[in-house]
Amino acid sequence: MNGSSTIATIVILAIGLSALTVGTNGWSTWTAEAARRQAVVERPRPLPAYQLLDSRGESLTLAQSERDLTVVDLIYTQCPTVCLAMGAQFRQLQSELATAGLLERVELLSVTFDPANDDQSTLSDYLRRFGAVEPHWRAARFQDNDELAASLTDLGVIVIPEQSMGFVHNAAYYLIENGRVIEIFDIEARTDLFEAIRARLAT
Amino acid sequence: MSKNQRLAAVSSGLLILITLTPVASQLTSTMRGHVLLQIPLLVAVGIGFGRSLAPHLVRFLNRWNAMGIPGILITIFTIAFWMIPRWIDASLTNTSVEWIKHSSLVLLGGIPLALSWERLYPVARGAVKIEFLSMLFRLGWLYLISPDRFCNSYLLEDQIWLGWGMIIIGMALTLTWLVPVFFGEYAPAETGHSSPKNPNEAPNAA
Repeated sequence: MNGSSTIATIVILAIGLSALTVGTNGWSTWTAEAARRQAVVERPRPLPAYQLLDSRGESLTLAQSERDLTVVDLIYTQCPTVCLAMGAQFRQLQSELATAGLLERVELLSVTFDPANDDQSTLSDYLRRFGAVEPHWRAARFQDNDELAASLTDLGVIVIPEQSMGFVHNAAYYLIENGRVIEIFDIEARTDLFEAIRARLAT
Repeated sequence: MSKNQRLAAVSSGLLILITLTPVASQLTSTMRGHVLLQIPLLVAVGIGFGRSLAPHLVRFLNRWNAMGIPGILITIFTIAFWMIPRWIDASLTNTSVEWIKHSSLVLLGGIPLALSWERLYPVARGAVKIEFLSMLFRLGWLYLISPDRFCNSYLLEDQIWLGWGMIIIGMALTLTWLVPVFFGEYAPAETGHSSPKNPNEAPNAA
């Protein structure tokens, strides 16, 4: 191989490996989902003070809470699959928090991304279905569709309408402190979520 | 119109079709269309451009491309990058990433491939083919068995489709590429020693 080609090879190897390394955050982040979770932890951004209404008609925002921590899950009440699992997991979390004496300090909030179908009474039904203890666990909807869309984009949530299943979305739990998402958890990771809450509240 | 000009024109037409027209969103509306059609077609457009380059430009580039090694490395890195699910997703939600995808697959995926493939030693060419096949099988298998979605923009069902697609294409390519190895030009001659038809292929790129 001649000199110029050797130099070209070395430069290409360096650039190529760097691109792959940077593109995967050092061979660790292969999916957009992992990237958004990592970004949230590294650069927590304040959530906008959009108005939501809960199932009892009380208004609230994600930017402020009277409690130390808020756990948000995004739902739609007609969901046949993953949200059912999420509802059941939330119920478990609710009882774990109650047992640990932490329920008063944490707000559980199910937010619908299908406000067209989920009105106040549908949301109340949803809470009742999963044995929610109000006001610790609330269900709320955005007042404004544009604000909902903007919030979903902000959080990196992508909702795909699907014929047989309604909607498919990257489901997760969002742990919020002082109006910022500080961590995102898998829906299977309820135990980790609980431990994180306990660690936060212990300090 | 010369043959090269015709090839360049056809490639440009195909490029416009798969990036700027409604066909583009049709292709990227499914994971399988995105990965198995649009991305390979973008590389194919690049190959078309690469084959229609002016001879003096090819001669100049060849000086930096001994045995096709630097060029094929550019292609490999480019394709590898666009196999990362995160960037597939990002190309759907971010227009700049989408443009980088289109241009890099043409300029860094296809063109160097066209300029390098014929110049590679047969052994190197075989290694690239084997690596390409194992990529198809590895990714295809991963997509088939994963219970999680790799792309937020695509459904799990679509991902399984892509997995099958990769495995079927991998098998088809294995057959097309391996059969000649055993029965074609590289098969041992009757006299008992192997003799590739043309061991020192002249490096010509166009």
